[in-house]
Amino acid sequence: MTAAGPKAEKDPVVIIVDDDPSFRMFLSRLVQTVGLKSILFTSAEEFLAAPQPDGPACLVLDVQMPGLSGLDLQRQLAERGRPLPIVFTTGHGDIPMTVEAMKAGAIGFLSKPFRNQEMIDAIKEGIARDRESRKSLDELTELRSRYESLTARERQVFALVTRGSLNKQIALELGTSERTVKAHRAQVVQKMQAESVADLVRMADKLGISI
Amino acid sequence: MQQKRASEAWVNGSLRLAFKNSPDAILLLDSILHQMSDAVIVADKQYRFQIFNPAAERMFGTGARDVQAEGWAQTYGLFLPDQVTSFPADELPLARSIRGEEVDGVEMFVRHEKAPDGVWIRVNGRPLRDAAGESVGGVIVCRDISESRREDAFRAGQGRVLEMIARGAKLGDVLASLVTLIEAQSDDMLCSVVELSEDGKHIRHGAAPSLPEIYVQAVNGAPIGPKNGSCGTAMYRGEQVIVTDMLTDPLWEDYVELAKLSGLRACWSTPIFSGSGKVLGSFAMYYREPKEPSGTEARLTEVATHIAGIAIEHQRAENELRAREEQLRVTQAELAHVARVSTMGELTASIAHEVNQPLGAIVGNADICLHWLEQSQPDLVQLREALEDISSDGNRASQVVARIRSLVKKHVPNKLPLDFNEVAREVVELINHEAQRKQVAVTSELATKLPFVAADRVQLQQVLINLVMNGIEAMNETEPEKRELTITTTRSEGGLMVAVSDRGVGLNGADPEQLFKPFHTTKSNGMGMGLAISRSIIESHGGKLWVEANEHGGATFKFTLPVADQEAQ
Repeated sequence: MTAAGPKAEKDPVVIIVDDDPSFRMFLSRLVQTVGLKSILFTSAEEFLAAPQPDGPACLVLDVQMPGLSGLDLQRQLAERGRPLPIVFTTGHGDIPMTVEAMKAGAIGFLSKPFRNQEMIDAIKEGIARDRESRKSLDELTELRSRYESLTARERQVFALVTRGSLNKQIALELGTSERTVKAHRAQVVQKMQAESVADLVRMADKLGISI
Repeated sequence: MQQKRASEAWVNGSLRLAFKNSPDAILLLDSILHQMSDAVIVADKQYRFQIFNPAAERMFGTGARDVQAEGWAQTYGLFLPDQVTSFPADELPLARSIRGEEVDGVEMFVRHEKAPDGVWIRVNGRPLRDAAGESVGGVIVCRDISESRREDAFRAGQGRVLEMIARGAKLGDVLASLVTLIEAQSDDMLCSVVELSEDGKHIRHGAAPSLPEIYVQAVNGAPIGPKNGSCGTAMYRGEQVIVTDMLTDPLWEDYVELAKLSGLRACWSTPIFSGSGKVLGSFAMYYREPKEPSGTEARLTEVATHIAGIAIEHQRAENELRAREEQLRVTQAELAHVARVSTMGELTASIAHEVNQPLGAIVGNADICLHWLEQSQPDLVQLREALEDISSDGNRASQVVARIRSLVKKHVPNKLPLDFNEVAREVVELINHEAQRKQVAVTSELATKLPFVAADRVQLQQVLINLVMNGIEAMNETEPEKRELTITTTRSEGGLMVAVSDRGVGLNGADPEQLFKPFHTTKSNGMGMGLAISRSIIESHGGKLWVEANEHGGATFKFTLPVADQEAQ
């Protein structure tokens, strides 16, 4: 499998959003001890205005900040369709707040003071998750571009093949010769970089093709 | 002989004509002049005395002398009311009446060999005319007003003592003035006032400016009882005790040495009662010789005990009032403290955040340092930076705790000059996080160069926190974008004004004064004391606290504080 394509993975980054300068400083120091890069923001607004990271990332967010709160930011990111894994920190969190954050997919909700290891574990999990979702997102993009390279006739053949039709049946249905179908089918397999019919079926499923 | 001279003077004078046909009338007049207590003097146009009655002789020492008018003041010892300037001859009432004037109520002081202490007299004079209306001389009538003057002075003295009481002078000073006044009414008399102690068992010194120090000290603190000198016994019995000779009286048996040492012989002591009949103390008159009281002293004693009773009772009422005020002040301080603690309770979440923020960084940084120290060659520069952060965060946490402690701990209100803007900034820092939590934007518009106010910092913080928290709470139902709270300070006449404005539910047409009533609350968890306490705090600083509805919704609480100088005055 060469799903990752030609792009090499960028360095993972930890995005720290906290209005407290000393706590921000501490978090970046902590991230540094495990060899990760960090980007610091003093508010949710500042983060939103900045360009989005192009490598795997994890957000470390203070729940209570002036202006947009951590929970508000989580909501906005979800609405934009690019949810980042989030580790929340709080000086004094209450249960409803924790529940809301976790329901919305937060990695963790750590009350200050916390153990450094807890934070590091949460960050690592966050990055791993983001790498995963980033990978599947990349795969899908790749599959789409491959699919788009098919001709209209090849797409028809692709759909019929993945439905389990034999070459003879496909030729009959498309009103063409079995030989022509065979040629199209070879093109589809090659263009989609599939190794088997089962592979093609899986791809069709991911692309949401169902005829 | 005097009578004879008086009548002779009359019949021999130029006025003989008037009565020449009536010897009976002359006898009658002679009898009247003889018996009068007022002095009557008549002189003719040549300033020769025609009548000089016996009362005149007594008043002016020597009888009618053949001296010119210029010599009268000298001869008879006549002075102006300053008691030293000889009365000017032209101004003498007799001289003026001879000149044809009517003279009324001229007061003068008369002092001569026979009246060395002097006598005060009031003189009226009239010109004397014959049947044809021709002026033939003058007549004066002089009355001895020494007694009434003394009486007036005594009354004025009493008035001054009563005024001292009314003005709240110290009891010791009032009683000393009283004793001095009484002593001035009689020669050789020494007086004292003692109080009965609160436990009703001991003598407490009041005032005795003329008694020997040793005696005063011995009496102060001595017990009362059935045989305890004059005052101790009088207070014990609740009745007057007259000791005519302290050296022989059995009541003084135990104190006879003290009496000898002090040179006192007679002591008459009269209890001082309160309006309700309780013994408050005792008034005593002392003499250096054995002596029995007369009517005069009884009157003085009555006045002295009456005024001393008023003074002592007034003082005790004052003490009680002050004790109650103190009690009230303590209670108010307690209540304010409870309210502060309860406010802090509402701020718990914010406080926890404020403390945990630095604590979180401290614990985390310390962990990192420990981790670095495990390495074979730790980076000392990094280590140092982290430790510096730990230190500054530690200070930060302790400042937060100190700020809260100062609001929560019990404290005695202490008014010092302060800049209210500082109080406002501290409060904003304290409630900032709570405001964030409730999504309220807090703005402060603080006037530059505010005058200092004399105020208790903690109490003013409490008032402002209370108003800000109320404002935040009032905006619970307001849309988050509109949740704005503004703290404004401005100069105002005689001081400054502070306004806390919100965009919350407002007053809803309710009577604003209701908000300041104790136990008025709209919160489920509030005591309803916040605004009542805030108002009492502001009023105790000489200011006012009130509320106004905002034009576009919400309410504005305002209070004033007078400048420090005025407060000091």
